[in-house]
Amino acid sequence: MQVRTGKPPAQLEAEARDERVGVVDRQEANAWRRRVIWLLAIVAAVWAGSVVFSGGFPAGLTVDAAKPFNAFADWASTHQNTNPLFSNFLTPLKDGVNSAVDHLVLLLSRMTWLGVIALVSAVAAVVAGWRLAIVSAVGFFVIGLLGLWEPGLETLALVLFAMVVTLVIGIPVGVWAGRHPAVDRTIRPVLDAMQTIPAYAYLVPLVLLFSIGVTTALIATVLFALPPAIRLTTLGIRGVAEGSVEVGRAYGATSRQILRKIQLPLARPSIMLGVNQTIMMALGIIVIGATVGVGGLGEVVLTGLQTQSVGEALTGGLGIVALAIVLDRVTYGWSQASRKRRGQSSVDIFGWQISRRVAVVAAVAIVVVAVVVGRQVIRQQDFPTGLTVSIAGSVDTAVHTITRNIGSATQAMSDAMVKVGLDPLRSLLLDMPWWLLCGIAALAAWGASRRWTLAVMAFACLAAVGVMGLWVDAMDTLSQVIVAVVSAVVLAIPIGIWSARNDRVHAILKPILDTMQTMPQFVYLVPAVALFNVGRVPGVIASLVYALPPGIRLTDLGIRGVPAETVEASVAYGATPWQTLRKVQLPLARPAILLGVNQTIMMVLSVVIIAGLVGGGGLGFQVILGLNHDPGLGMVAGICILLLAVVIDRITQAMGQPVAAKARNTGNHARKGQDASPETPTGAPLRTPGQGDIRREEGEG
Amino acid sequence: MKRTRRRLFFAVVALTAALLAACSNVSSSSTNTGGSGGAPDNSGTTINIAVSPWVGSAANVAVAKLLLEQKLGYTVKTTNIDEYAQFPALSNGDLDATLEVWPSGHAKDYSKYIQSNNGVVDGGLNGVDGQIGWWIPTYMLTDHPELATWEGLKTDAALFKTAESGSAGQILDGDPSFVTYDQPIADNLGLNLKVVYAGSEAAELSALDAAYQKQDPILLYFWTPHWAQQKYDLTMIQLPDVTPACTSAAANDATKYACAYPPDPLYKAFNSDLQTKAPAAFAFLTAMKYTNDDQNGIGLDISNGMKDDAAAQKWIDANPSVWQPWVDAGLAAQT
Repeated sequence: MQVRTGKPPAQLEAEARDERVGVVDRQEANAWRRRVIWLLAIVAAVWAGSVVFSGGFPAGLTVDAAKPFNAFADWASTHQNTNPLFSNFLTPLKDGVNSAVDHLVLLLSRMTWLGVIALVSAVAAVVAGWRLAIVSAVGFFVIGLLGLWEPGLETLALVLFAMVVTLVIGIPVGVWAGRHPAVDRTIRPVLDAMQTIPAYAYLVPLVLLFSIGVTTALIATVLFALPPAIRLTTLGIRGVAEGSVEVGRAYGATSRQILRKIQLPLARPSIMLGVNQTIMMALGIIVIGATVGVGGLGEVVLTGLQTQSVGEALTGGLGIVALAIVLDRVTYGWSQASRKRRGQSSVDIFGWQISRRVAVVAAVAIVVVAVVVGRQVIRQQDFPTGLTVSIAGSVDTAVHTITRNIGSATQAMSDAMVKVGLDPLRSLLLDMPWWLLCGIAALAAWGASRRWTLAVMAFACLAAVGVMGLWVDAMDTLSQVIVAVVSAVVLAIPIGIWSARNDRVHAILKPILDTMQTMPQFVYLVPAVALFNVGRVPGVIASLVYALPPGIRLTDLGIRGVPAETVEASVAYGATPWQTLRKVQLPLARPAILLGVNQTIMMVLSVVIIAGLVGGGGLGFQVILGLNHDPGLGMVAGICILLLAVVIDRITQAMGQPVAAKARNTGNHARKGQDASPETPTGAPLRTPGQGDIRREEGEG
Repeated sequence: MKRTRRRLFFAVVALTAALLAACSNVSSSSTNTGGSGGAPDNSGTTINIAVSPWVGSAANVAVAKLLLEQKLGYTVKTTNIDEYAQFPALSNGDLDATLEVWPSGHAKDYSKYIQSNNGVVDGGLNGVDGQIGWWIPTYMLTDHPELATWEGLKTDAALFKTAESGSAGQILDGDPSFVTYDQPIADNLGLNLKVVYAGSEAAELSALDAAYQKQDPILLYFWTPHWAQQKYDLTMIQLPDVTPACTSAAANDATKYACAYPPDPLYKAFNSDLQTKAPAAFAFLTAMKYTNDDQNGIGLDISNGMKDDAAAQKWIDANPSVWQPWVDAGLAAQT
C-alpha cells in the first residue's frame, strides 16, 4: 500500500472518531477557510505571474524529442527487406500470427452460423449459467440480424486471440509482481504508459515492424489490454490473506505449492475479472485496428464514416456493443460463478439441478448437432441474408432530421461554450509562465499528499511537456480537459444520486451507460460535428459521453454503499431527506465519488485523440498529424498525454486517499463494493474503454 | 483440481468434435471465376491490391479485380488500408499494388520507397487528374458572385467567421496529414482567413453537410475527384494561376506560397517483385488508365448504395473499348 498521508495514525483515528460522532461543523468551517485562502493566493499568483512575466515555455529550453523515433522509423522502412531481424524473426512471426487468426476465422465460419451460436451459448451455459446462454444466443443473433455475421466472426477471432496472448503474458507477470512488491513498483509506470499513450501514436512504428494486418492490430491490442490483466492478477495474489499463505508454509508447502494450491485458486475471481477487462479493452480499440487493414466490425464502422453514413457506422458500432455485452456478461458471470461455486458440482438449468458432467456432455452434444445440422441440413455458413435487417437508411434519415431541427440551437450553445469557457481558459493557461503552472501543480500535489516526491514529480512531468516542445498544444488540451471534466462532474453526481435513490432509474441507466462506453466514438463523430460545428466543442461532447458513466456509476455505488442503519439513524433523528443526503450519504460516499472524478479525468484524457479528429486541436491533433507525416511527433505527443495523465491521476488519487482511509477506519462499508472492483492495490484505476470496471455493483452491493 | 482437469478433457473433446464436424464436408463455398471463357488459369497467384479510404480508390480496385479475375484468371484479394500505411506494405510484398496515389501527399514516400528502389516501383498514371483547391457551395454565388475568384474573399472573408476562427474567416481543412498551403496562401494574398482543421475527412464532410442543408456559408479545402462532388454542388474559387515563379519561390519556404494548387496526376505503384510474380497482372495494371468521368460514374453508383463489384461490372459492361487494351497487354505478357 502506498503511504496515504503524512498524518500519524493516531491523529487519523481521532479525526475519524470526531467525524463519527458528528462533530464536523467546526472543522469543516476551518477547512473551508483554509481552502479559500489557498485559492485566493493561487489566483493572485496566477494574475501577477501572467501580467509580470511572459507566458508559455521558452524555446531555448526545448529539445527535438521526435528525432530518435524518426531515426528508428527511417531505419525500419529502409531495412525491412534486407535486415535479418525482419527476415528471420519479425516476418515469420507476422505470417504465423496472420495465418493462425485466419484459420480461426475459417474454422468458425465452417461451423456455420447455427454452430457458432450453439457453441457460444453452450460455453456460456457451462461457465456462467443458462441465463447467460440465452443472452449470448440473442447477442449473436442480433449480430447476424444486422448483417454483420462475417465481420463479427473476424472480430471475435481477433479478440479471442488477443485475449489468449494477453493472458499468457499477463498472468505470469501479474503473479511475479504480486509476490514481489519491488517488481510491482517497477512495472506500474510502464503499465500506466501502455494504457495512456494512445494506440494511434505507435501504430505507424508497428506498421514498419510488422507491416499491415492482424499482427499489428494484435500487438496494439495486447499493449492496451495487458495492464488490467497484470494488475488484476497482482491484486488477486496480494489479496490472498496472509494467514492462508502462512498456514501453507507451516505445513511445509514449497513456494511453488503455495502459489499453485493456495494463491492462484484464491486469486481466481480477480484473475477472471482480468480476463473480462482484457476483452473489453480489446473491443475498445477494434476500430483502430481497421486503419491498418484488419477486417471485421471496425472496418464496417470506418467505411460508414467514409461515406458519411451514420447508420452504417452505427450498425457496425451496435455489432461491437452486442459482442461486448455478450463477452462481458459471460466472463463476468464466470468470475462470479468461480467465486460462488467452490465445491458445488451441479448446475442450475431452468431450476433443474443437473450434474456438471452431464451438463458439459449435453452442451457438447448440442454444439455437434448444431454444426452437423448447419452443414448438412441448412447448408449455409453465413447468417441467412433473408433474415437480416438494414437500419442504416432510417438512422441516416433520423439523424438528418434531428440535426436539421435542433442544429441551430446546439451550434449557438457550442459557440457560447467556446467564447465563455474554452477560449478564456486557454488564454489564461497560455499567459501563465510555465514555471508558475508547474509550481501550482507541485503545490497541489503536495497539498493533496504531503509528500514532496509527488510534488517534484508533478513539476518535472509538466516541465518535460514543455521541454519536448508541445507546451502550447498541451495547454490547449488541458483547457479542454478541464471544461469536459467540470461538465462531466456537474452532470454525473446528480444523475448518480438520482440513480442511487431510484431503482428504476438505475435499471434504465445501466444499458445506456454500457452503450456509451462500448460504442466506438467514431460512430458519433459525424453527428457531433453536425450538431456542434467543427472545433473543440464536439471533442468535449465526445469526451463527456465517454466519461460520464464512471462518474455516475461510482456516485451511485458510493451512496448505495452507505449502510442502511446509518441512513435510518439519521432519519430517526429527524433529518430531512436533503439533510440525510448532504450530511450522511454524500460524506460517506466521498471516496467513491472522488474515485469517480479521477476516472472521469482519465477517460477524458483517453479520448483526446477523438477530440483531435473533430477539430479539437491540441495534443490529439499532433498525434494524428504524426501518424502519417512524422511518427516521432506522434510518439512525443502521446508521451505528453501520458505525462498530463500521470500528474492529474496521482494528484486526484492523493486527494481521495486520506478520506478513504478515514472512511475505512470508521468501519463503514462504503468501500466494500470497490474492494471487489478492479482497482490496483494503490487505488490506481483501470482505464477501460469497455464497460467500466466500476459497474460491478451487482453481486456486491 | 480433478474437476478442472475433467472439464478440460471435455473441452478438448468438444473442440475436436466440432472441428471434425466442421471439416467433414469441405465443399468450399468460394466460387472459381478463373479458367472460364478462354482466360488463362492464374488462379494459383493471388494479387493483393490496396483500397484507400475513399470511393474513387474503391472504384479503381473493383474494376481491376473483376477484370483480373475474369479475363486473366487471377485470384484477387483487396485490403482496406490507410494511404500512408500502404507504402511499407507495398515495399515488403504484403501488398502487390495500389492504384491511386496522390503525388502531393506522398512526396516523401515517393523518394523513400520508389526513387531509392526500396521495394516499390512507379506504375504510371491512372489517368485520373486530381485537383486540390478552395471550394464553396455553388448556392453562395447567387448572393456573392464575386466569390468566383479569390479577389472576392477580400471583402467577403467575414462571411466565414466561426467561434473557432475568431475575428477572421474560417477556411476549413480536413485531415491534418494532407499537404496544404492554405494559411500561406491566405496570408500572402492579404486575406483575413484562418485555417481551422476538422481533424478528419469525415468531420470536414459532416461540417459541409450541415452547412449545405441550411444553405450556410462555408469555405473548404477540398479536392476532386471525390464522391461528395456528386452529392453537393461545389465551386472551386479561382486562385492566382500556378506559375513556375510561384512554385519556385515556395520551394524552400512553404510560407511564401501564393497561388493555386498544382494539378495532381494520380499514379499507381507496385511491389517491385510483381513483374516476376505475375507478369500478366503487372502488364495489365501498368496499362490500366481511364478518366475522371469513368471513375466518378462508378463512384456515384457506389455512394448511392450499389456494391463495389456491381458498380464496376456495370461500367465494364458499358465500356469494353476502354479496358480491352489493358487486357490485351496482360494477355501479351502471359507466358
